[in-house]
Amino acid sequence: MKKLLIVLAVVSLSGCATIQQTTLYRAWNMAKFDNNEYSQINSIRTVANLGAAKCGTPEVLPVVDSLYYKSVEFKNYSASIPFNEETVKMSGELAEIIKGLNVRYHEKEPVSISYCTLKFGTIEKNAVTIQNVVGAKPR
Amino acid sequence: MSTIAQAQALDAQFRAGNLSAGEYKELLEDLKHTAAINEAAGDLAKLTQIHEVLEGLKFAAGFI
Repeated sequence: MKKLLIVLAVVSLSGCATIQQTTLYRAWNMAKFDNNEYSQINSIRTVANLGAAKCGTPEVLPVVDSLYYKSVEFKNYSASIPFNEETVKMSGELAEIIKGLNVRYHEKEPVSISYCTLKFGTIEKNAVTIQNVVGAKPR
Repeated sequence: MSTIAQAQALDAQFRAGNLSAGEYKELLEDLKHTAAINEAAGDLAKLTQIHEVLEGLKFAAGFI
């Protein structure tokens, strides 16, 4: 009886124009809140937040390396979790942003302070966006 | 700030000589990455909301 009611409710919901059956299936099975995933994106956000002040100094290089390592770690970790497509997409895009910063700091040409500041700002802003939705995942 | 406004702000920085051509191009690309992150974040928020509704229905069914 209970299962029948759930099925009826789901079928009635799928009748809505904006909700497809595949969306319902994905929502039902979606990856739950993961402490490690949340910790990783929080770490990226924090490093970006504190690292911006080091732009224009030699101390920025280890920060950039750390950010790149953490972003790849986050991407790899999220990719191993089933029904986690949205987080995989976000972690991949964030890793691409950070990769650009890492590549530029390992080239011979000097990096401008404006670029560094803008880049850290972009990384932090996106990390906050990701952290908010990853933190709101169902428990 | 909208994507267009951000692109205009980057353009102003580039014209003022604060960014190299390579840096400017990369930061414009980052706007696309940011848009993709925002879209995926919106999708995840929507899935989370639907999941909560489904969990509510499951919980309600437990009382019948």
